[in-house]
Amino acid sequence: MADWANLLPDLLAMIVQRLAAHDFIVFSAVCKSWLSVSHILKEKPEEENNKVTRRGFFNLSTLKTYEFELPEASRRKCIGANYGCFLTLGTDLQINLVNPFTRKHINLPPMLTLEEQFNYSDKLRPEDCIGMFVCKVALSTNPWANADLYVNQHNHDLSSCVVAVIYGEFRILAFARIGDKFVSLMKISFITRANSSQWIVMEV
Amino acid sequence: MASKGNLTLKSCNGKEFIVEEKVAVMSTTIKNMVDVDDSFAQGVIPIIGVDGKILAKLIEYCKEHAEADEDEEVKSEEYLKKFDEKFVDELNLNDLYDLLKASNYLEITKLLNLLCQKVASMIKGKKPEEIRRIFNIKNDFTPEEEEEINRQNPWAF
Repeated sequence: MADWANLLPDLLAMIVQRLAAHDFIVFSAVCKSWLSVSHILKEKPEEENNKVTRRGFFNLSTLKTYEFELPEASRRKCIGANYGCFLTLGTDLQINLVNPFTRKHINLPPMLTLEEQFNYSDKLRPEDCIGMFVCKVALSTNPWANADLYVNQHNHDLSSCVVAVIYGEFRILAFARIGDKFVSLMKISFITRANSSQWIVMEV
Repeated sequence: MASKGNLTLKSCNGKEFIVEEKVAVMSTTIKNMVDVDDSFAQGVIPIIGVDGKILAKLIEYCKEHAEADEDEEVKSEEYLKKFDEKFVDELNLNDLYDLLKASNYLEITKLLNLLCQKVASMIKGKKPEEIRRIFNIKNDFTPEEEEEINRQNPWAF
């Protein structure tokens, strides 16, 4: 016998999201279980407003999660790179390379410098395309390998480090020396989509 | 034993259905199983918690849509829209419930969206007591709680 009151909350949420304000209120007045689903949905925007600054890192060799205070990654998409770094991408279309341990960061050329970018407008906002931002990144050398020798990280030569990224709907491969523009080379659309994965992998 | 290009799906009450692979992989869950392990494609895929009647309905839906994806001329968008409307209109409440759960479990996104839309349309413009009657839901609010809800949103009722 169908138990509509206790249908999976995920499914109830999918249904209630198709209702306008008036029907949404009525939905929540049907029974306690339906009310609790509408509560979950209501709380969401508030949660997003709170800045989450902590990020968890899962170590595959120790099977432990380590949490870091990383305000620079707050509300930004993170993509794991090698040499213990990751990229952060946000709706400001800036790309930053971050080392979570030292909190040092390098600004890479912004996403708009990549070829075949979207023409963002009121109808196509950056937040609508976040799934098609850069999805993979690799560095040729450790950009901070000699950084400790210098007081200011910007003084030492970063141009020996080449960054490769895969981005966009058609999975385009692009390269840039740190400090230079990206040069798009080829489309590699056969690369498996990694968007659905919540996990990022980085080599330390 | 299914021939090449076909998969055998088995319902929880033991009914077996031989379907074309392109029909079966409308379900992301089945697609993932077949992609990961080839032996699924040769053997029988058990569909846990879905009985023969519901599985037959799922296959009916996926078949129409898989064929439409393949040949847009024979099965136009308009044809599919009509098929979808008829498909959901003919469902009784129990079947709608079972299909919702099954399409969620099997990740048949198009169908899941269609069914959620159907349930939402049954809720739209109604009063809570009408919705309870339609879906056979018991009012488990105390009179005080009910009064509180009415007080917060007097315009909604």
